[in-house]
Amino acid sequence: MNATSTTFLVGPVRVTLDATLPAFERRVDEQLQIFKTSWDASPYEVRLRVQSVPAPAVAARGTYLTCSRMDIDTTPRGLYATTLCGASAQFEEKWDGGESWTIGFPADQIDTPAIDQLEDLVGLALVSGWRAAGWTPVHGAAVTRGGTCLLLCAMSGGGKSTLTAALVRDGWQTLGDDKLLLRVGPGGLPEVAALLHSFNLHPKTREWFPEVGDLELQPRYSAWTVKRKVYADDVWPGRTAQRARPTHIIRVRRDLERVPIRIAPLSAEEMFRTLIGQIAIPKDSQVAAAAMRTASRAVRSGLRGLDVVIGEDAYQDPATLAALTAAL
Amino acid sequence: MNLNLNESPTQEMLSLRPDVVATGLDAGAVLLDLDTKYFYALNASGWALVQLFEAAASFDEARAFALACGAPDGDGVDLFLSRLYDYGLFETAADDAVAATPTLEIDSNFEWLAPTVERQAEPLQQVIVSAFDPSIPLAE
Repeated sequence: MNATSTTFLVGPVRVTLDATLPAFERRVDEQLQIFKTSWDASPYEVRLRVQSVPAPAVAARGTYLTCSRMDIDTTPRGLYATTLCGASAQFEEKWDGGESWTIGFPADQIDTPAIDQLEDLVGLALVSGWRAAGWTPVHGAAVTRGGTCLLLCAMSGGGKSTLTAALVRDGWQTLGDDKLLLRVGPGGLPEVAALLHSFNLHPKTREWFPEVGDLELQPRYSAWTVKRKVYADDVWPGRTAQRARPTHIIRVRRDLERVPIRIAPLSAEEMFRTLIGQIAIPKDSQVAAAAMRTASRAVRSGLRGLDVVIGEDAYQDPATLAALTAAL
Repeated sequence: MNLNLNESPTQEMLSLRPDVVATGLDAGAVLLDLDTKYFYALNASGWALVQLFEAAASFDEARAFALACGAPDGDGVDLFLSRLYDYGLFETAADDAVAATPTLEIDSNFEWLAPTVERQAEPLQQVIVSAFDPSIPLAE
């Protein structure tokens, strides 16, 4: 089979994709072309070969990590992952400055919704590449203004995107509402970097931010959610940032009892647990220790922490954000 | 499992299990058991004791270390170690770990307090959304 080769810059990683079928190329392109931030450092290379295979792969057991649609094992060859439809990713080789993976996708599943499971396997290779490039992937949001940078931490559906959008509308710059990279640089100072400048907003968000338009008309962020992808520059031009030094960890929680906003300080241990709770930690002591070291060094660098509980309709009241900014 | 120190082999050499990882935080530390996904917060004295078991140590050695650091007696140390033991954080030390045990050094400025360990109420999720997103998977 002839493969076509395409490259994508995904933060500090350059992905070279060799896909044996246009369907694979389309699906991976859809996933990776949204990463539009620019990086000045030489990228770490991740080579991905995606090919069809005649039968489902032998299922991994999750000895490294268990995800909702993917199990990952540690094997003598390196990480091995399989998804629900029998697609697989095998780590192949590492060299100075890069690594390679082979993804096999069952031929009889290509023209089915299962093609979306490529997203999980490609995501695993990206996470591996980001870590190898010296960064810790953080499932969080960040905004910055005038030397202050807030790391907004919450589980999926916990309100990161909505608070990010509210702050950006209020004049802050976003580094992303979902995917960030974190590292502790020379001098022990933490640094957060943007991967993509977009919001993943629920269609009902329009009730609070009419400027985002009719979100039902926008493409879905992922096959797994009703949220829509909205680019910050399309709605609030110029409100993006590339790098920042975090000054605060904000633990965000929703309150269904419609309390406008409640703010309380976080201890160092609570900040650590909040931050580490946003990092996928596999059963690999080296990876886990590195993530914990990054989180603890970030906390020890002098970050302040706030627990912020926000009511469902709080964004209709300008006093909500005023209370938050006053507490910083 | 409750450890009765009168019946336990207090001279047995033990190590932290290899899938228990630690990092310093404030004056103490946080341990994460990658098997159970529970976090444990240690104060400074607790962290000083646990570091003995990063190579290998016995409970008797740990008690002696605490007394040399200024602990008034060994009771608090016994209670602390028995809790770690109950949490399953130790294993019998390998021979090479015993051989590699460093000489214990005591910082003369160290102020001894009763060692404490606090287990986080909820463990990290065993099943998460993706290799990037540690959220709880939602029903689809």
